[in-house]
Amino acid sequence: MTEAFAALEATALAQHLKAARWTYPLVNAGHVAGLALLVGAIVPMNLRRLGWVPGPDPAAVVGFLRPFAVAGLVLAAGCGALLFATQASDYAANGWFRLKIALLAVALVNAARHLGGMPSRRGAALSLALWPLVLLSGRMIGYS
Amino acid sequence: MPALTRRLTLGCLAAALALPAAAHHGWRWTADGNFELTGTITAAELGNPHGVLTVEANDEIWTVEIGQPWRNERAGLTDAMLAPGAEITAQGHRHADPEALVLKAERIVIGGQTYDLYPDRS
Repeated sequence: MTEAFAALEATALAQHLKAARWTYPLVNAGHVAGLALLVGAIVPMNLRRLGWVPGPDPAAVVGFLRPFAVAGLVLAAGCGALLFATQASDYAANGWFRLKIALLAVALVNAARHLGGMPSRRGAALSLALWPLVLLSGRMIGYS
Repeated sequence: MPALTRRLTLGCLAAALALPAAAHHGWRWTADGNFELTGTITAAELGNPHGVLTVEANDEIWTVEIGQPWRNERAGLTDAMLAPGAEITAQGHRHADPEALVLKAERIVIGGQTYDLYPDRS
């Protein structure tokens, strides 16, 4: 595994990002924009599903916001993978990063269980708690 | 203002105020006074988001934060100059926590030559 991370860091793309003046902050911004879109869709979706805020029919809200959440996830994960590649060994050894990936895995399993339909109340509550926790643990990597 | 907008705005405002104002980037986490450290580089991690040197000075192991590649390059510093074994003096601000042996460098001095990472900062 250690060798795989070292090999990832040695790729031309990772080397470019590590030294780049503009590409790295751009990818960083893409990661943040993805998170904003993801959490920005997840929060109102689940609040409406749980009936904690008034608004249109919950099924319509979920159906409308889900594509935005998925797009945000794809953008965040894509840019996140690039950021990871620049310092793969360090991130893999970081406690906050590991926690974030574990929380992300649980959040993805939870999301996959009700893809295409309405989430259960439990699923919605879990989603509402998990995604912000993924964001929080991810942000903590920079402070560890 | 509609009731929901008002509730959400107040909720987010309260959350923002409650969050501690910890900052890693920028200078808010550093002490005000200037600080200088002279020692030997034992490890160097250069690259985005910023370079980190491990410097042994006075039997203490310090972490010295330097610039991103473009900032180091602009100052005239090359990766070879920051390799382990190099004797350097780092001038800047240390971590506000006196227990933390962390210095964010504004200038690096090698062999009497000063390399200014932040020409706009004194």
